[in-house]
Amino acid sequence: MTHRIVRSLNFAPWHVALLALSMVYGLYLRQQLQVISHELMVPLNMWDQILTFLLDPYYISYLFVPIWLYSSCVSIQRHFSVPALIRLGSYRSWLYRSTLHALARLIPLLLIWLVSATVTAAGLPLSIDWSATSTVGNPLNQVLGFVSNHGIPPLLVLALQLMLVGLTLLCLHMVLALVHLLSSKQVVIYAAAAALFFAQLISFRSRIEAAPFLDLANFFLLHRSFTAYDPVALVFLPVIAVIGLCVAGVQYQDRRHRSTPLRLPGSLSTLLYVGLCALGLIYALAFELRNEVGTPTDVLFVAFYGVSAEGFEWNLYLYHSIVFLGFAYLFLLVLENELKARIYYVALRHGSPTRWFSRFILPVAARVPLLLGALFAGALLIGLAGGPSADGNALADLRLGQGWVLYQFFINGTLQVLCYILVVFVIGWLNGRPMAGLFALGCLLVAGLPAVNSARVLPAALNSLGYVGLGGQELLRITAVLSVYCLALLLGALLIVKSPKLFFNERV
Amino acid sequence: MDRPHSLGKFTKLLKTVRSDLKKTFLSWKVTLLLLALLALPSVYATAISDGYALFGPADFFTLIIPFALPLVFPLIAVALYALPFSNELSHRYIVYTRTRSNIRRYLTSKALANIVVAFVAFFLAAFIPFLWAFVVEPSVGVINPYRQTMVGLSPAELEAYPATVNTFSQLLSIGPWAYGLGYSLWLGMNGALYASIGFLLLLVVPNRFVALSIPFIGYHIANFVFAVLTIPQYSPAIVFPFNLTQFPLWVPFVPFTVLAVLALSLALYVRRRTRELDVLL
Amino acid sequence: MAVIQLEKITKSFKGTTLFENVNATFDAGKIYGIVGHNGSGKSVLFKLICGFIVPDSGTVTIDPTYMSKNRTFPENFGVIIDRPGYLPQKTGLDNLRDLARIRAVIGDDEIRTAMKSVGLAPDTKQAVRNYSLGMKQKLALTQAIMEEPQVLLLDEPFNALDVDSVELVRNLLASYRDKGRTVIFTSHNREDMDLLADHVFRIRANSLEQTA
Ligand SMILES: Nc1ncnc2c1ncn2[C@@H]1O[C@H](COP(=O)(O)OP(=O)(O)O)[C@@H](O)[C@H]1O
Ligand SMILES: [Mg+2]
Repeated sequence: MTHRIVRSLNFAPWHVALLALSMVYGLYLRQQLQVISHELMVPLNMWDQILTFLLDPYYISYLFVPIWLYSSCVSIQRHFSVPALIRLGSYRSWLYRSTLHALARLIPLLLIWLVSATVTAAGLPLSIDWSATSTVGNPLNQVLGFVSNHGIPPLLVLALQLMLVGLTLLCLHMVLALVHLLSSKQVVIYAAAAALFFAQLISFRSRIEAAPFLDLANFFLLHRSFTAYDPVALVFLPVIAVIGLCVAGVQYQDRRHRSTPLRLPGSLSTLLYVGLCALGLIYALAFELRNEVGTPTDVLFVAFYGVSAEGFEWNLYLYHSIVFLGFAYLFLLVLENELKARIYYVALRHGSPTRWFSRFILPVAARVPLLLGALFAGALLIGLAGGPSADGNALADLRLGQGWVLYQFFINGTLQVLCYILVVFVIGWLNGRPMAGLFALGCLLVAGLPAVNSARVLPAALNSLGYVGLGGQELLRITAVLSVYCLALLLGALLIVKSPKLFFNERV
Repeated sequence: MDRPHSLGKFTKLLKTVRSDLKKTFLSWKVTLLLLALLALPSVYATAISDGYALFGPADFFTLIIPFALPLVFPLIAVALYALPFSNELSHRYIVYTRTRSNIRRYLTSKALANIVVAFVAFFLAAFIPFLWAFVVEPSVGVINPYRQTMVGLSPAELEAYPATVNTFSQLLSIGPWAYGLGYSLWLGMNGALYASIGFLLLLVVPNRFVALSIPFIGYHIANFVFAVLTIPQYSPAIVFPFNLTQFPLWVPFVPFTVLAVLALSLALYVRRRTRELDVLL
Repeated sequence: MAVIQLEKITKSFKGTTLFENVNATFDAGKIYGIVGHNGSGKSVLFKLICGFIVPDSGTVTIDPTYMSKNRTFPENFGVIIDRPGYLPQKTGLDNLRDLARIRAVIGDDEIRTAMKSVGLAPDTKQAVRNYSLGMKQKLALTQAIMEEPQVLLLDEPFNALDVDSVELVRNLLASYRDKGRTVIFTSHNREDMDLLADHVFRIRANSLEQTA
């Protein structure tokens, strides 16, 4: 299904109108910027225009959000029908599907926004850093003056802003969908949408400082997030929490409507896995940090330290392996089901092996960032339990590299786990027995040791936060290495899947 | 699992075990290959020994025992015999042997063969390095000189030092052979124990893959949990005590006993319920 | 046009040739029976038709109604190949639900109806692991028919079934023919062939001969 929905990501005529409108507004903003720069007598560069546009409250709250809320209401009502529910089997899958549709709606909107911001910046000097104008603190230039003061490069601000808005909009969509599921009356969903619209309007005008998580504008404008949350990454937590609540809500609804029996074996291993993950985080706080937390990412850093170029500590490497290789093992348990004669009946229904493959692997791949996000959130939450560090901060020099810690954890983490999954798939499928996948995991466990992987060219444990000490250059190299492996493995997997001889290996 | 009541029965059992082993393992080619594989770490460690300040054969010995072995030890133990045996189960070959021989005797002979294979393999995995470090190397003298001094230790203390490094190096105070044989026996016993647990799980757990992966997964989970509890000496990884300080000799036998009891209860269960086991039907 | 057309199919496995220059046509609205010795290649023939195996040479042509673009395997085919495939730890109903969810054209009700039509109780809590051989065979039959396919390829559908169930399945297949659907099945039983099949093919000496 994923397949078809994402392919339906098309541009409608009204997108053109929106693009035109955005362009005009962009030109208006550009003109104002020109005035400011003239007044302050400092030069501009492209980021001034792009980020001013992306952080513009009027554009977001009067144009973007209402369009989104309205189209969400329409889309939810169109896709909600009893036959659709029957086909999908549960409210939860309906919610997922609806969210996928929302994603397909969101991407063109974000693109229009980004494109009009970039295009209207044409002619301004290219740069990767902040311009002189934006770094001047001046009432005329509050927003950029403030944002540029956080030591984050403009490209990252752009990415964070888009991520934040995107996630928030998806979250609002899920809230509306849940409202519709609970009430299933047309009036209610429109009323809810209107309420959300006015709430965000008010929130743009005046801050709610006492409860930053109730202040909607904090989740639309990065400069508002910077004031409300430190570090700014924390702003994602409430959004993720609301999404989690929505999922829990539909699960509850499912429970109420049909008592689906709990499938113990599956949930038992998952439960054990989650328990172990939590145990490791608590351990990191209690024993490695002795309950003293300097920066919010301390717990994360210690828990996922894994190996470093100098060597490894048994406990930390064990935890790292249990979390990441353990995930691949859970995948192997699922893969095992497909390695049997059942694959004939499954593949026939999917229509082609590649379609089977994409529907099999994509949900798993999508869970990887979710897993990392959950671990990140968990580490932050557990970090809250710790007191401030006594001797200044043992990990003080790390604070400089916090951005890199997050980079290593999320980007290289995702790539690394994808590598694990693909290795397990390729080996398991070629051999036809799941034990081969387990041996592959054993080899990866050994290959992750710094003594074996001293050149860091084997795709094992490269997402260890212990490698952050090697500097950004090395982390980027690791990204390159992992990307090459991922691509090669993906290619291999596709070759296997495309060849009937290998795909029905031994089962033919 | 069939207790032999008479000598005749017992020798018959041994015969089946032997023929079974012969069938799968004891060809000359395989034996040579295995020995070469087991000798490889010794050669490798000798080659890299220059980079280490070793203070004696005992220290050299711990360098030889492959540092990756503790990570995959249960996986290897299971792979030696239980894995091929699982294929026999999955192709339902065993169903046809049922009608031709007593199923209990059949299983017992398989279980014994499993124990023998794992024990011998892991015994040699420690014993060959021991011979290399304590017998061959000193007579050839590739590594010399060993470190003669150690900060803060008098010569007499230095003499006694190797016996205080790890658990099991206590045995060095009796003599090098006590140590070599003692540790090799220990490793062999553990290999056999893990292999047996894998084998028995194969008969009890309906999913063969899960059964074979439990020793490996459980081993790591237990190691982690014991590390979190800050009592690593009671974790299963104490099979390889080289990265911990010395503990009394009874300590490693605590997890061993627990696992042995587990294996025995599994064996009893299999024996009691042989006729009802799903996998044999 | 014909639903399935085989032209000059040749297929061999590691030296043993199964088919040489086989031609055959299967038309809509008929029941075809296929007989042959054990190991003569009946299952391989079905796999060839479904696209699970590619022939060494020759072509398998499926009516484009069942073979839209970018499909490798035909649509709207219900098949049993060789042996039942299932998730042993789940119940029969859950197994079928998992399969039905892929195409998402039927819901629980249809699955239950299909199970009952071959004599399986939908609500037994038994895991398929504990099914008898015949029950597994019925489960395989159910998955083949539950989505009301236009073409049925059934490899030894009567295996391990009791007398009553055989009768049930025979009637089911006959009703399929009456609805204009196509059925191809293999069987060792003369009676099945005589009672059901409009045409019979025999695999002999690497070729497919139409005997009736
Ligand atoms: N993947 C394969 N590799 C090698 N030989 C095969 C393969 N699949 C089938 N065969 C051989 O093809 C022959 C026909 O098999 P099959 O079609 O299953 O026989 P049947 O007519 O009894 O259904 C058998 O001899 C079998 O060994
Ligand atoms: Mg057959």
